[in-house]
Amino acid sequence: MTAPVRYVRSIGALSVEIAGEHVMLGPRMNEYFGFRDVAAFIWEQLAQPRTLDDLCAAVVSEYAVDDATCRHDTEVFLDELLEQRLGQVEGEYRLSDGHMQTT
Amino acid sequence: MPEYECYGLLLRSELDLPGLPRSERNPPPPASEVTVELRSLPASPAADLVMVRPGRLWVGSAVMRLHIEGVATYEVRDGRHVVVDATPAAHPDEVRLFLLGTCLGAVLQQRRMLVLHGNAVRIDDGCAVVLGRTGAGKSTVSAEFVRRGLDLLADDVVPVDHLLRALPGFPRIKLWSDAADRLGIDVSGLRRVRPEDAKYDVPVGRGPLGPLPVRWVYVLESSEEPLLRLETARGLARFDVLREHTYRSGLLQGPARAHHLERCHTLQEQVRLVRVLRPEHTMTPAATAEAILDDIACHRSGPVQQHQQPQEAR
Repeated sequence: MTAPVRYVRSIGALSVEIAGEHVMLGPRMNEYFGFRDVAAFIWEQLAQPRTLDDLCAAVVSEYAVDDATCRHDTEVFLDELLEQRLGQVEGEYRLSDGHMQTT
Repeated sequence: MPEYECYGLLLRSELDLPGLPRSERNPPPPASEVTVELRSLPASPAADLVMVRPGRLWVGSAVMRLHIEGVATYEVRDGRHVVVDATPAAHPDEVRLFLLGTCLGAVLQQRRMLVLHGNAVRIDDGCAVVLGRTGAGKSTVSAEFVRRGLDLLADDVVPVDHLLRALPGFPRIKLWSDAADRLGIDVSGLRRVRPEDAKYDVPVGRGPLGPLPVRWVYVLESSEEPLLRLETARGLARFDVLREHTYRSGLLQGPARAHHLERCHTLQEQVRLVRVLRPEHTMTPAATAEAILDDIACHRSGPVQQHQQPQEAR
């Protein structure tokens, strides 16, 4: 059985914090993203590699949400992070705008 | 060749730029020199430029190319060199307009300034910047500040340097004739901004000014509420205000965008950032200027605080 994947902020993502909210620019450098509330909370968690279970446990302990909803919403959010290359799977090699990245 | 000074730059220009202050610095500091040449450019942009607006704007890491049909093609490089390829029949005022607007904005941006679309006036040893969409009344409110005796630092384009200081621009305000009328300014004999518009370059007197730290930022917004109200921007909104009112943000490509994010972030940390919500039809420039000056008076001394009371209702 393989270890569950862990997610982490993408190396090429640049983010700044303003009073608990975050603005970031992905490696494509074409668009800004802003995170507040739960999104900001998850983004803070992703400073270190986390599994989906880690993230859900953290969110459920902090916000009034049931496990199933939390898991679904967190997965959707992670998909979006990976799509925008703000986040990545730990250790994954990825070609991004011609630059090889590695964790 | 005539030499002009604005935004801390020394423009050596083959194109006459009437209305701009001539430089008196001798010799000029070499890093600040910008040359403006009149010559023909290749018919098509270099292949490595990114087309930002089809047929009009192309941007590379240190290059901008702008084409204005019937006026000119311009190329700006390295924050130091501007080439103007003017269309023979073009009106010289139109050629100058884009040179001193978008092209100068590109020069400043290539020099890694955060270029804001707004106006700046001196307050004590710092400055207040007024931002707003086109037509929001930035220049009119600034003209009101000038009428009350404040020094205008910059109109329309406010470059902020790495020390978070706004640089002094041209000693003039662009005003529509009705706005000038309301402020009691006689526009007869003044130069029009564009030949076909009733918008005028209004010269304003001021003493010598250097770069001044930005301490206050006010954003003019229209509101449905009956009374003018000020509201401190917080969190993401603080970044959003600066992003939205960045001058010609289409010029920011690639690493320039990362730099922009960082500069906006450091600037928002040092300023009081306030949205000025104005009822659209009843608000006068005088009332807006007064509300802003009152707010400045209340937050004039001491360290800049980001975490104010939730609202300052007026």
